[in-house]
Amino acid sequence: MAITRVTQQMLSQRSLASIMGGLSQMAKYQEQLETGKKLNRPSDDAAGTNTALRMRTALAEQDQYVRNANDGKGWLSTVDSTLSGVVTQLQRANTLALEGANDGAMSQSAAEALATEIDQIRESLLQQANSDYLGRPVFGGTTAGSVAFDANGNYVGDGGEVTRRVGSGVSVRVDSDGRTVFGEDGDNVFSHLSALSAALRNGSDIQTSIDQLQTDVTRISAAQADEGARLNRLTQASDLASQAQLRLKSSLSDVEDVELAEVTINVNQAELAYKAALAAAAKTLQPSLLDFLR
Amino acid sequence: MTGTFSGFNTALSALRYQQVAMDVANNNVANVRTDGYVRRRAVAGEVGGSTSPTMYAFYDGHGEGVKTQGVQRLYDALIDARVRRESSKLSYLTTQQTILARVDTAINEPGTKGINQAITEFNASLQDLASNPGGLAARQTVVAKAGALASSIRTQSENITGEAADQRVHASTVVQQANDAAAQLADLNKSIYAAEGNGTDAGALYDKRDQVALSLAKLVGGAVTIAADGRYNVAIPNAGGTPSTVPLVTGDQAATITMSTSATGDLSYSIGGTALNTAAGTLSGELGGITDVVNQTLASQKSALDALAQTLVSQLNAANALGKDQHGDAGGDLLTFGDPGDLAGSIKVTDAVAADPGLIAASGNVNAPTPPATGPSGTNANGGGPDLDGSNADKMSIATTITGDYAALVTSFGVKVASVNSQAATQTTLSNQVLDEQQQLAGVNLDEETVNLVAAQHAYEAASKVMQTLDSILDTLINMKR
Repeated sequence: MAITRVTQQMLSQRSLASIMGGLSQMAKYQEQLETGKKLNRPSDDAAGTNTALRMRTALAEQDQYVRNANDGKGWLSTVDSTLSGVVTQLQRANTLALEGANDGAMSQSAAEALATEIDQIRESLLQQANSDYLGRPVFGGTTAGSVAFDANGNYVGDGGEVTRRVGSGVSVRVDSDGRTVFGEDGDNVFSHLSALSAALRNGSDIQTSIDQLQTDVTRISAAQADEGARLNRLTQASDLASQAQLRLKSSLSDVEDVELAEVTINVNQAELAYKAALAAAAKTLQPSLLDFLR
Repeated sequence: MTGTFSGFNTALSALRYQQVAMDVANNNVANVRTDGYVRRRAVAGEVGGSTSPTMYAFYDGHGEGVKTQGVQRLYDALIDARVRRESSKLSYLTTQQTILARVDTAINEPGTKGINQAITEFNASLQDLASNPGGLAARQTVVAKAGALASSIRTQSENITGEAADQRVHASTVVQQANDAAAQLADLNKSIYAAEGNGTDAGALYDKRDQVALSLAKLVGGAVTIAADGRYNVAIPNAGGTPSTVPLVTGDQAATITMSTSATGDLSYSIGGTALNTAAGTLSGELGGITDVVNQTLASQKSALDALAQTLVSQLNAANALGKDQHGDAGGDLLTFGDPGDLAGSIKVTDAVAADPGLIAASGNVNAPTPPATGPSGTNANGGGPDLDGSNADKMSIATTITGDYAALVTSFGVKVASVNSQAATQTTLSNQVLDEQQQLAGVNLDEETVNLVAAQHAYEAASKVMQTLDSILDTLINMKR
């Protein structure tokens, strides 16, 4: 720009403009320092805002996946410890049955003792089959009732699946169906044990019961293996979500937050520019020809 | 031969002219900070003999002194026109900038107080419900979070409609100001024409007229044309038709702009029945800025928000309808609109759901019969009641696609604001440069005026000296015979 004439008003306007410019720069960096954010409104960086919004949504999802996985682990751990106990007790029942089968000339009182223990095992198993997590029977599906099996050993759950979403499009079943684990009504662990105790009492053949108990143990072990695999998936998913949380938090910070050192330097530079504008104004606004006409 | 006394006249003309020069310098100094003041210069003209010498009537003098040929106003109509144009554009952009900055801040994104956070919290509450479909607390949380989401959408919608309503009032003020300015410009056209006619110095009136024309340009833009008789005419683009402009000021006649608001809240204007062109970017100045923000930016933001609310409501209600609520019935509506004419501004949780959180259809077991609920005299051995399936709550938490839509909406608004900001910054530089150009020509430089003043003072002293010398010569002549 070729300047042919310079007037006092031009000088004062320019001084004012550069002083204002310096101040507004300082105000901008001050806001960044105060809020700790470089994105204070969408127009600060529209693309960055888009990224930040998506990351915040993703972060909230990952938070939820971690919560869901933890809840799911609670369910599956309950199932796991219950099944371990069930297998141990079934093996005990099996031992008792073999004892009854081997000793052909068992006294009635000895048989009665075995039968009583079998009955107790059945009671205990029934209690275990009704194990609950936070008030919900873990083998009862989505039933609103408090038990999965009634006192007769009949399934009263609704067969629904309890699942937890632990990743985008990944849902893991966190319960086990009582019928898959303990057997269908009339052909389940409880009826087998009842039959066994009855057979022991009236001295009839108990080989059928022994075979049935073997099958039960195999089936329950298989259910436990399946549940263990699901617990593994949950743990993996939870770890993945935790890692994603960390990654997203750090990326979000990169997008939204200011780098303190950078802003501090920026503030210093803005201050310098502001001071320079003030100094220039002080120099240019002062002199006039009148100072020299004496 | 020149006359004996004619020298006095020459000296007197010099005294007179230098007096005028000092007056002009004085006035320039006095108005150094007056807005719209254009510096003047006393133009000296030589007084000589006949301009068309003839054979027998020749002039044998050596000049008859000086006269004030005029007081010149140092302006350039071209620069003034540029100043008007650039100032009008600047005012158009800064008006938009000021309005949009408020809406931009009120969006509250990215952060923990905006709609995005409300959506994620709502989805999280649905996931918690999926984990615990029997708990009343989880259901109440869902209802509360749905309410918070609806309220954050309403707040943002109200920010937009409130700002638009304020700007409609603002527009009517600007129209009023523009009409006043137009009337003033017509008056000045008339006064200047009269002043020119009777030879009065119209300098102050010219300054005033340029200022009024500039403020009119800042208010409504428009094009100023200078008629052959020197009067300023102002015309504004009309909505189609030939000619493409409507006159606002013609000579000493000013028309008035009438503002009207359509049913949808769009602003429109007319002059004497002819509608002005309110298409984006056509009107300039403050009025153009307001009109474009209200008719375009805010209107599109509002309709995008309405569409968002519509999507949210239909997706959530559809998802809820796929499930079974705590009473064993198919899910009804979760969200609704209080006013079908203002979707985003009236989105809310349905009264039924607000009163009974059990109506959220968390269960996906739609076909399974619901066992009788346990009451105080419940008969179901197994407790009974609705099933505790949470699969539909889980589906609902991923039913809405509005996070993406919302991010796009926020981004496009941010881009718009950022673009206005950068345009305004560029335009400020451009306007400043043009104003500088104008100032270079028309502004008062105090040093220059001091020099002029001192020069005039010296010339005045010299002319006085000449007069003194003539006086003493005359004295010599008169006293010669003694």
